[in-house]
Amino acid sequence: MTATANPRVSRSPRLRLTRALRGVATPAALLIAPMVLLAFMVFWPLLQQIWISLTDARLTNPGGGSFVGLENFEALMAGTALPQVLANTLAYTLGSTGLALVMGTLAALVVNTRFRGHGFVKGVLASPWAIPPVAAASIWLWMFSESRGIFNRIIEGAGGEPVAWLTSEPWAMVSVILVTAWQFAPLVMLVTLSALKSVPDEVAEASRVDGASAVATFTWVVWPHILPTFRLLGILLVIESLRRWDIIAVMTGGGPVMSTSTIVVAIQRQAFQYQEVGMGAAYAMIGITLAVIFALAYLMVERRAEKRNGR
Amino acid sequence: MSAHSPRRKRSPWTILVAIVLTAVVGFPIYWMLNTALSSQRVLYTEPQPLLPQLGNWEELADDLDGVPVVSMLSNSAIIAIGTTVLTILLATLCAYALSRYRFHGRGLVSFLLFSTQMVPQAVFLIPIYALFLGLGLVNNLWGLVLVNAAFALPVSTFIIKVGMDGIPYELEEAARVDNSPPLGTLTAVLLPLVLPSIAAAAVLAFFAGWGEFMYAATFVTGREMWPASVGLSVLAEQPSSSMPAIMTVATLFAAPAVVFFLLVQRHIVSGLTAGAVKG
Repeated sequence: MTATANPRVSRSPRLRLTRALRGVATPAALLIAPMVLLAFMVFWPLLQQIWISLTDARLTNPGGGSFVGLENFEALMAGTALPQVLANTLAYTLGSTGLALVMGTLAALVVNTRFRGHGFVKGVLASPWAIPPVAAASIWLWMFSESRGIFNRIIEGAGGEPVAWLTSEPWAMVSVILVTAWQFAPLVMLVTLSALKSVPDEVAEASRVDGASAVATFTWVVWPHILPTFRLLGILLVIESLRRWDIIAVMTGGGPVMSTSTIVVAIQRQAFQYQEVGMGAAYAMIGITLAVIFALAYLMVERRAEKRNGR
Repeated sequence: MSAHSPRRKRSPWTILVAIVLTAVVGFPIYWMLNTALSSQRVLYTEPQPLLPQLGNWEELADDLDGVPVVSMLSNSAIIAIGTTVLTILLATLCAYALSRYRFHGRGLVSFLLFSTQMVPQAVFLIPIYALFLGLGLVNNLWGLVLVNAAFALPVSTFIIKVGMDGIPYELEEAARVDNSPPLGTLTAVLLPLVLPSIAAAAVLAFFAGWGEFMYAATFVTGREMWPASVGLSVLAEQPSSSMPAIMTVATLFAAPAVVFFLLVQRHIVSGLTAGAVKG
């Protein structure tokens, strides 16, 4: 963030005082409405959440449980559910992010070349991002159908055994990761594509003329150029998959036997199906902690990159 | 930056990868359309034809009988448009304050926006439910608009702020010296110039509202209130639903978003990265 023009700095002394006043009053007036919304939807809920997580509240009266101290957290720590939920969250987050980054970069490299039907290919590759997650999940739900889905039909056609995609471990997790990555990859493609355009043509050309292979050119010339973008996309997708509920809810509902229950699935189920709002809030506090850890990691990586680039 | 400045010459490998990728990525979309046009009876008794069958309209109409398709789509539209309008209104004010003024608490505001963006909105499901229960906003489309707008606010603000940062301050100087009120300066001078950024932010906010599922599924109980995301998930969960009907609803739900996205795609990518970089 570089310094922008500053309205308070005025060369005319007569105007300085009014400017100074306006410098405080105006931004405050501008920020009232947005901050009120955030206060209602984020900050107050955060405080309320901390309180609820310390109570034994039920769904019928979420704010009215009685104080039980850290009992909810102790119960979570003592049970076997939490480690599994955390492991699932990690697998889902890293799996979707990793697969989307690889697929999206591959797509970007392809779309960055010239060929007939370029516009069509780019359009098709970009589309999944815009499909509402529930619609995407319902398409794949049908394709993964054990008895009549297209995947099992192909497998059976090739003489294989049908797979219970959504009702067996580890396939349920693999399936939801596939769908999530399918939806994320276009974002990676589009953003990487605009980063690829910043690679100077002559540099890549020179490297090729010097006899470097396509792989070497990519590794030594193109990759350093798109690395910052890649890092940014990585953190964006980690956060995005950390908050994803829709795809898992529609496809597996967190099952079979919790094997696709991420932290977000656990929060919703604990509070709105088991009606144990206090326990749900305890899960949510752990979710917030995870988000904070990711955010700090991101800030640290960015700081270090900025320092290295001497910005 | 033109979309048609591809750099490298094609090789047979790129063409092959392009074909395979397009087929793999595009297949689910094709399969959705193909299934929507199939007959449920055929799906149950014989292998699904690989080419769409055009002649099952009556059966499809029967299957969709009783599914509130129109109200589902219009509820989604209300949520999406409400979210977009509220988000853009607030994000523009916020971005203007952050881009043009140095004031005490500026860092704090940026930090609050950044943390809101980082936290998954699902973690606030419970307290917001408790809040809405008190305010009578459960089972209410405007409640969903408030939630969506709050969580779309940070990224929209950053996108618009980056747009404003790129515009020289001198342009507003004249208006300011004339003692035009700040909002006048904003609307008359700055807004027309940052319209592309605002459009990018608006598209993202629209998508957030159009497809939102978690809060809608948890808060909305009345059938006439279902947005398309909730209606489609309910339909998909019922064993009695016909697959062509489910896929038809999915198509109607997805098509406007996809078409819209492909039309504006070129303009929102730069905004997207800009917002993310500064976020």
